[in-house]
Amino acid sequence: MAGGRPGGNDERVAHQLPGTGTTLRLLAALVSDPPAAGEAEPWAGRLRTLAAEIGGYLAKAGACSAETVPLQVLLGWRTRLDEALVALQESAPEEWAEWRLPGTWLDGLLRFRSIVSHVVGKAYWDEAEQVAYGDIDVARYLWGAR
Amino acid sequence: MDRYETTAAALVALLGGAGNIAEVASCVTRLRVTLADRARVDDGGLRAHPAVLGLIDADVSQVHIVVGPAVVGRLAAAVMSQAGQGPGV
Repeated sequence: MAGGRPGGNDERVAHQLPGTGTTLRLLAALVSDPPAAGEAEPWAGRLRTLAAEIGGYLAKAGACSAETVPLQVLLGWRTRLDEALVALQESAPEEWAEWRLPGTWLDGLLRFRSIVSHVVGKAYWDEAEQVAYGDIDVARYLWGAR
Repeated sequence: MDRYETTAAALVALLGGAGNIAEVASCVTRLRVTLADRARVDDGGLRAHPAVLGLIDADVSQVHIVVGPAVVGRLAAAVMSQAGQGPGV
């Protein structure tokens, strides 16, 4: 029978990179939905400010139809996230343990940080000054190729 | 110097210099560095280096530097060489 059984090896589909819009939407989702203002402060304040700044940058990139992001911007986000996350872990260990659980706002920030870190590392070794949003495969990173 | 050599030189300096590195090993994604004096490590500088994906304290005298599987072998060899260890010596 031509084509083989449905879902079999003959129907394997090559994974395709996402479009710029998809990457921007998924990255923005990871840094959105912080705890309500006044709740869980002051521990969340520094991260809330940084997450809002990153979300604003991504929204502006979408509005301007930007196709790439400078490596130095990504590196800056990662460095400042690391500083804020280490400060949180040291100053509020109980909240850290509770809020890093899957599905929480902090979990989203940690996943965002991990993705950005890998993108920065790859760009560094490729000696690239700009990273195309479309090359940041958030879905594949979070959930694997399906 | 190639990219691995320049990166290794930067990491060795941030680790406190070759004299502060007692041993270098590697695993799938990490450099495992045993130090003479942990306090001489520039943690902020290491975390800010674009080749460093993460920094983990394994114990009081050993840090793990996450660099990724694609580069860990060659980078470990370059760090070992510059720290005065391994086959490159």
